[in-house]
Amino acid sequence: MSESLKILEFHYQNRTFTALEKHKAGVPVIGYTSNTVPIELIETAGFYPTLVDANITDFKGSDQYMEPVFDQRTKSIFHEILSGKWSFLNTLIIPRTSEAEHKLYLYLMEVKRLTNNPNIPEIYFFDLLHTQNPLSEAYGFEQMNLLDVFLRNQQKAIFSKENITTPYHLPIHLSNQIKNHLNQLAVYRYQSLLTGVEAMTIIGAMYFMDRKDYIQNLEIVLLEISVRKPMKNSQKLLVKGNCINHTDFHESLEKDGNIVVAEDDWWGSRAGGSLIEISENPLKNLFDKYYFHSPSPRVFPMKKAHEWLQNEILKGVDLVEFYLNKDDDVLGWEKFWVKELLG
Amino acid sequence: MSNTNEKQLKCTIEAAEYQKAWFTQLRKDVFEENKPYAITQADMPLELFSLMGLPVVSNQWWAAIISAKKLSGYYLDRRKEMGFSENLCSYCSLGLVGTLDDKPEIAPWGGLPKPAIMSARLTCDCIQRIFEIWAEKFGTTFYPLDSTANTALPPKWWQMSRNNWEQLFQPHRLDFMTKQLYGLIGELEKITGKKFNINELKTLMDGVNLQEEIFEEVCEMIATAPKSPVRMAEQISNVMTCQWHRGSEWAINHAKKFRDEVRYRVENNVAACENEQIRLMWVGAGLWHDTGFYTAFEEEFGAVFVWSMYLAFGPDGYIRYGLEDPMRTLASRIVSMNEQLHNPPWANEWMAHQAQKNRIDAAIVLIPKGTRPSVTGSYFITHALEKVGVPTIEIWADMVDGRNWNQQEMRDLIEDFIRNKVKK
Ligand code: SF4
Ligand code: SF4
Repeated sequence: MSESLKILEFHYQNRTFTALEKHKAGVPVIGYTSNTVPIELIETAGFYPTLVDANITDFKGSDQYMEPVFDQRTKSIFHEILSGKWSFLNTLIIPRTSEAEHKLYLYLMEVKRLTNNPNIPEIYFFDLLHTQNPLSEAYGFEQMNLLDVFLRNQQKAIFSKENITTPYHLPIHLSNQIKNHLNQLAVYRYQSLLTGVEAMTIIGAMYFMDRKDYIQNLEIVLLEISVRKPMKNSQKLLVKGNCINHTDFHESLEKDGNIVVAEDDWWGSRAGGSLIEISENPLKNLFDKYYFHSPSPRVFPMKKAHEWLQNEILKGVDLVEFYLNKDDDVLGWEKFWVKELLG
Repeated sequence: MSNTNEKQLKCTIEAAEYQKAWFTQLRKDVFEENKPYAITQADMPLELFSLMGLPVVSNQWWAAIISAKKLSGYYLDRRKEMGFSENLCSYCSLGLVGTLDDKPEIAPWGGLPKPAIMSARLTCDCIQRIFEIWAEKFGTTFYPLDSTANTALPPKWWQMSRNNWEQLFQPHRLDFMTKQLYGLIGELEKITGKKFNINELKTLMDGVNLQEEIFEEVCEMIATAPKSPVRMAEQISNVMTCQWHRGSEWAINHAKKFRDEVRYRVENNVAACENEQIRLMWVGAGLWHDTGFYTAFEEEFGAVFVWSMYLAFGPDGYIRYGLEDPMRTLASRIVSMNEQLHNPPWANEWMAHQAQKNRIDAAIVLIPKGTRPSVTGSYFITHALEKVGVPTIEIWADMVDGRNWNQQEMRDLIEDFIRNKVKK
């Protein structure tokens, strides 16, 4: 394994490492819980954005508040926040990307109210809706502006005046660079140049690294992959399912020689996708990207939610595998639709 | 000891008869004469459908019918055979499965015919999927109302909801919901050919306020009478029938009859259960497949269910003063319904407040795995009740799927709880 791939793997596995380093170095860190929070705005305001993620199985202590019907990721995040693992965050931004996140917000606020738990950072709820109609769009854009105002105020409160604001277009440019690379990676996957496990690691590391470092390593890894010989594989699989924040499922699918070439999930293939436009109105450009193109269980109608999948299976997928955790009560409904889609 | 199945109030029988007649008419109109109707979730602005003359079959109510006809097991098995995973919600999906199953010989009254429109608030993430698959199968329109989240969450919502609702429910959310409601009206106008009249809405909203004020009198009587004058099941029948037709002349009159009968009983010291010693609170939706449960602890323990959310939520959840813009007022009624009943901090605070007001000795909290929004927030409710000195017991059971409900075991569990945890 190359040095750069090792670095990415390290960060994929040690998810708080960079955030803590930044914090120790005096850079204020803002956490967010999923893919529909515009990290470009966080960076513009001078904060380090980190994805808050956790994957544990012992919920002793937090299970007195959160019922077992929640998915493992939400329960894990809730638990770790209560127990203090994320108390270094300046702010935690929770978007309305799923109902579980809405509840996570309410539960955290309530525990804070009831117990004064000092581990719970300030929380901002980003009420971005995902139904694709003009009313929700207008509401969402307003929310995007409010988030920007909130971040600006945080910035003012924390940094001294002489701190120079990053113009919006720099983080956007960075995002586009990453997206370009990830789209290249997606092509390599169909050419069988890497396994799904590797791809998940490479993509996922993005959420836990300084993005400039990430790009540097990503570029080297891509170069290395481009000269590999294609693997022999029996079937090309696409995975659809609940947030896949680990590689276990891919490992189990690939152990018999299959290869996972794509995921309908922001932890996988959908971290890339179309680029963010750059114009005089960067807030609008960011909004368009996050509102129209982010995967979320709340995207409506289903036809819109499945557009990506529909295009992707034309690229030569042999099989769609569902990844549903045992608590799923949402995506299980889509099996029916996807079956019809695949004929 | 009185017969626990008997209806103690005349108006309970009347309510049942009215609902039956209403449903017979609906059945005739919809199932036999194919008149347009709507399928919606229960927490929708039913006021608009009623004004536009479009009858509504609520998804939850239809699920209760399926379950009362002992068909829920069959449909949940069918759902599995169709390839859906087992963990999905049952309450909201029985109707959909009935339609996909497409066996008129099995479905109640031959199954639901094609509705002119389907509509739901997108509270949880699954409901849009259920309704979309369903509408597609019917070949009809699905009009969703998107669901925003309250970010202010001030304490004691029930003290603000009547007069101060603009602040409580946040202006930007009300703007958005009002616009959505006008969108829905547009759809209903297309279907019915009727022109929406805002003054009619105002009159209806006034009627709803009046009806809920009458319910509030009943709430006060139950809370303050030495013994509860009316059993919980009878409260629910009377209240829900009225809520279903809320604001109509019939509903207002019926609410008055209900109030008057309760008042008569209070004035004459007539208790629902003479032996009342323990006042129980029921937290959660009704246990539709075993309603005998609600009187099962009267004889041995004098433990009487005196409270469920159905009556108490009427005044606190529905009354809205200030009808200058009735559409906005209506928006304020529905925009947070799930938040008030199921989400912290609002649900738990309200339940604890109600428990104290109603001198509750113990609470039974139903946690239905097959209905997600009723599960979430449950632990906060339990904590809040315990904190105000009300012992609680949680029972994990489904309200429509009776297959895993062991009647004896459940009764034993509660008896044990009463013996060991509840002070007389
Ligand atoms: S009681 Fe709760 S679950 Fe039932 S319809 Fe009302 S809000 Fe929904
Ligand atoms: S989560 Fe709620 S609305 Fe969704 S299907 Fe379940 S009970 Fe119904």
